[in-house]
Amino acid sequence: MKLKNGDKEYGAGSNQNWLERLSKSNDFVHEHTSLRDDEPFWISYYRTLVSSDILHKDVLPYLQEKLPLEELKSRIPVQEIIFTRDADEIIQNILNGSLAIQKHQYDDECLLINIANSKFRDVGMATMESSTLGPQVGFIEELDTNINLVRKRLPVPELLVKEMKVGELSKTRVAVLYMDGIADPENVNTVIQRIKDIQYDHIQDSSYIASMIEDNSNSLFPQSISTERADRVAAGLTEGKIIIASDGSPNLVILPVTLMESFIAMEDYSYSWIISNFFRLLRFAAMFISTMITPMYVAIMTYHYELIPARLLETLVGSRAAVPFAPFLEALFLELMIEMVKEAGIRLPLKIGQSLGVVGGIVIGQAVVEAGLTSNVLLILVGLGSLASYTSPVYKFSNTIRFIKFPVIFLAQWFGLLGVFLAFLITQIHLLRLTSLGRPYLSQYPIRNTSFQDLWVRLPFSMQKENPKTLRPQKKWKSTGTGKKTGPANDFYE
Amino acid sequence: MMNRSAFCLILILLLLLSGCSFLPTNIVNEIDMAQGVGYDLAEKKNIKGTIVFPIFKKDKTSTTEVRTAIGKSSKEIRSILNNETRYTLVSGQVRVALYGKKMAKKGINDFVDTLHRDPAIGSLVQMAIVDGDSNELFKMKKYKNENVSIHIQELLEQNMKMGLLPQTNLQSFLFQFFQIGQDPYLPLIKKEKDNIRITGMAIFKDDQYVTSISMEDLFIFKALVDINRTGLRQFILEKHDNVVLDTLGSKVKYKVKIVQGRPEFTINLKMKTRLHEFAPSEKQRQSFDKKKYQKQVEQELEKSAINIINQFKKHQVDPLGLGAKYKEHYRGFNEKQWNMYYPNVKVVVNADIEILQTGTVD
Repeated sequence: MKLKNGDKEYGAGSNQNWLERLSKSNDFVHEHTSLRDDEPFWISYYRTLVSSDILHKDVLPYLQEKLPLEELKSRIPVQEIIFTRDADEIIQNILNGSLAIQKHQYDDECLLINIANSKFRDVGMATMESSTLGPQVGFIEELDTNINLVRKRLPVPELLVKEMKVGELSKTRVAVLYMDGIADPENVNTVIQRIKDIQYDHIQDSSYIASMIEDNSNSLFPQSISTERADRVAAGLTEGKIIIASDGSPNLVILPVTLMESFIAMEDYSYSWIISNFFRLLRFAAMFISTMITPMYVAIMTYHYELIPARLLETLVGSRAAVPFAPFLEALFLELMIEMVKEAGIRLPLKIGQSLGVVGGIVIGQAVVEAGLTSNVLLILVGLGSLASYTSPVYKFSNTIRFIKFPVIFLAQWFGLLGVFLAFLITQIHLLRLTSLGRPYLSQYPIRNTSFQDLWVRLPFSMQKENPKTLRPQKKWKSTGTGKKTGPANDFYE
Repeated sequence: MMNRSAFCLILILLLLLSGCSFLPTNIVNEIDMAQGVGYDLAEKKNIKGTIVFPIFKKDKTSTTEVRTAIGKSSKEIRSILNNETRYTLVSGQVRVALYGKKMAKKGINDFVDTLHRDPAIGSLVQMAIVDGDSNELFKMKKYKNENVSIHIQELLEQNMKMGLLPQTNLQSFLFQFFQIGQDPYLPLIKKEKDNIRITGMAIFKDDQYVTSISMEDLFIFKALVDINRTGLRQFILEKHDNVVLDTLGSKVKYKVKIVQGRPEFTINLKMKTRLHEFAPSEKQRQSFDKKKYQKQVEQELEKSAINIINQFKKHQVDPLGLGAKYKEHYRGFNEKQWNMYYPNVKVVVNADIEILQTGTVD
């Protein structure tokens, strides 16, 4: 919801009657601490926001004596105490879990003590981007904890955090993290400017911001990476990337990114470079398998029977012999069924979901083949394709892959292999035009030296010397040493 | 923001068009795919065409259907046969084309033409001449369930890869046919009792079958036309020493010399071989005398090479492409003149045989 000019702005009080406005809510408490009405103090807070433990142990005992507010400020053992007269600030702080102390009920002066009760889950395992080796920690819904996790990995003063409040109703704290001296200031300014320009009433997740500040919001491809891994964020920062974190979201957004980064898992750095390259290229190949294999089946079975090798003919045609539908309908039916099983598996309550994933997939698939509605070859291909779509370490990207195969199936039905190629061409053109934060999304072209250090493949650490050029980092070399030569300490590693 | 009506139109089009396709479809289980075609001579200048296509069933072994029709052209035969098949007959899966010997004597070009004019047919189609009737070959009961066309195709291909047959297919036939100064050759197969077997090589003059080479001469023929292919041959040398050699690799070089306006050819054949079997006539304890036998094998090979070349000269055919080599070499090439020279052209063969491996015993 956008606010029009002249509308009352939500949340901000204009005058002294902040008390009146807040008292409308039943969980708002406005109390007097002494028996006589004209004596101090008056306290007001939201019962649901403050920690009653701190309130009773650390604050209320000091309110027995009749001290001036300034004196009180130095006595109460709470870190965040503000002394103010500004009504807006008072409302804002009370809404964030502060306790307001006034000497008399209608005093302007107010002491704000932050005794917010923040309940968040503990820092735990990264569930969406789990890995077998390497750090397991994942971000949580609290911004400060998330920044803490990043700072622990990069304890340098160059790591800067710029905080903003976004959302007219939600007043979400949004932080932009970057490395001063590495990140391109132009990129930083662009991000901050774009976040400041956001006009939307609520921000529930960092993905809201990511899609609002995207260069092309009509694209199927995510122009940023949402991650819950602190190591991925820290690694991105050192390369000159910019991170957006939002309070209440366990995902941090990395900008700008390129397409190839969707195939990079943080686990790659835990293995020998040869093995990790094998897996990286496997993921890349899996994308093609996932998007192309069903359309190829449709195209070949509908138009290009000449292409089938003689030895495969019996398997392919025999399996289709009794199927009453055209390959297109057969493929579409099966693909939609698999997607439905996947979707239901995500939406269903956890306990039911587990059994459905296995049972639904296998039982329905087997039954469909036995009933003669689809060929078992297609069932294998669709299964392979959907398996392959999950190899990408970036979840948003694997959703793109899941979706993109449907238009390709349609094109395959209309034009055969020409259609499949057309789909490839259209995607390629679109990707070439796409930018992430103004930097080319397909920046593996033209192929540069840096693309081979850590993009297409990952070289040993001693050979990863340069930061990726497309980010225009201010720091060219990864190691601060003498430039081209990495310091002697690095010889130790590889 | 997209115009709402345009969006609706696209959505409706998407839904409607998903059922139809812009091109004629060939859904695999709704076509009958011819895998083998055969052409034989019939009465009154007609051609008896045979088409073999498999019928696939779910969870059952496929059967092959063999249909025959008489007509004047290949496509006429196909359209006659189309009247009796369940689905449309299509030619994109043709793997083997057979021609009866009698028909081959009259020229097969009209029936090769249709193969290379059809874009659905690849150039790797195997071709062979049947000593007898191709129709009979296809109709053999033994191969009813085994898919006779694939059987013949693989029979030929494995012999080209590991056996004595030189590499041939539609592509090589067309190349040799259109090349000036060369005549094509194709494998010759025959139905013998209940089997299909390769009996030699059919040699053409243009597109007409003229003569054939027997299996014994195929070893040297393959060495002369094909490079680096394996093959096995038994040599019975002086004193009936029996040597069996297997080619590891061979290289052949044709040298053309113009002497008094006439070409002279020197064929240098280098061959690396492996001794497979050795049965000397004198049973005595001695190791294999490599040099001696190399020499003898060389002489034997040179003799048989000259033999087949003389046979070619006699029939005025040139499967080795000597004319083409002469043409490459000599700007004033004249086909008529070359045809005059050919029966008396001088050809020298130098064989250089090296026995590299003699087995684990020696």
